[in-house]
Amino acid sequence: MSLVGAFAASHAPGITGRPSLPPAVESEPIFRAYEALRDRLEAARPDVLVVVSPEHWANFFLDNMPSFCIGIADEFLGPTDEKFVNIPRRRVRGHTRLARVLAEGITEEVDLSTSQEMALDHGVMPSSASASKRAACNPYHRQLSCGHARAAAPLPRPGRCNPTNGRSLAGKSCASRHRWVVALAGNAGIRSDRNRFRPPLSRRVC
Amino acid sequence: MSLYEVQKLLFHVNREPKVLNRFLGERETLIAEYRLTQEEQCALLETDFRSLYEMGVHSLLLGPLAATLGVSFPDYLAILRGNQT
Repeated sequence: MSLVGAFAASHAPGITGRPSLPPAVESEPIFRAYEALRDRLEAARPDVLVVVSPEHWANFFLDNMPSFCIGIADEFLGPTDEKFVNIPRRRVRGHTRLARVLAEGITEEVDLSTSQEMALDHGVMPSSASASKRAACNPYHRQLSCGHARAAAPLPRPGRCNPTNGRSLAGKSCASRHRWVVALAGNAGIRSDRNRFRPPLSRRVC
Repeated sequence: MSLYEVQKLLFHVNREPKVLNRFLGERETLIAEYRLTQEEQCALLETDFRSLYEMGVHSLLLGPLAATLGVSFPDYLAILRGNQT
């Protein structure tokens, strides 16, 4: 297996959902960066894009919130929040065999959930939308986060996340004897201080 | 208050098209299936985003619902700020 690219980007839903809301001088550099990311991704021609993203109520509720979950299926449906992110809902191909290889490797180090019916949300779709013209997508969720730690506490500690970071996933991918061409995408959240809305409302901790 | 139940209802509405259709077409019946206080029931019946937010409902349960219901993001923010009803 060969690893042909590793990318990191924000998954803030407003990037595609409300692109004209911020002044162009602020948004244009972001859009140009996404175009560059798409070009590099297409040039790398991966067979599979492994996307690591937080969960946003697309799959799990507070009755059962796994720390880590990998999607293992031939296809996935998303985004669940299509109006919010302004990306039409559609089916994205999955790569079951690679997902199983990754799952086997990760479970050597941390307990891992798997899902054969994982729904995709805005955390996954921007990358998979740009890549899936030819590549399959393997979504991989870390626990609900994005500043939502109170809702799903306790979050996994940083040390527990190491087996699931890009370097580790790349190692697990490359250790396989299969001839898959793989790229990684880390779609993190940017808890921007430039968020325009920070209400001084009292919030309950559930 | 039963924040857990409110969020559970909204999780189902956002995730399941059939539940969304019930939320749009027979909301009162749907809401009665969850253990909610009268205040919570009223907020859900009226789609009172500000009240729901102040109760502690997660913003990523409310934001996608607002978008699904056709509320623009600026209007949604104005509602949360109390600048619009």
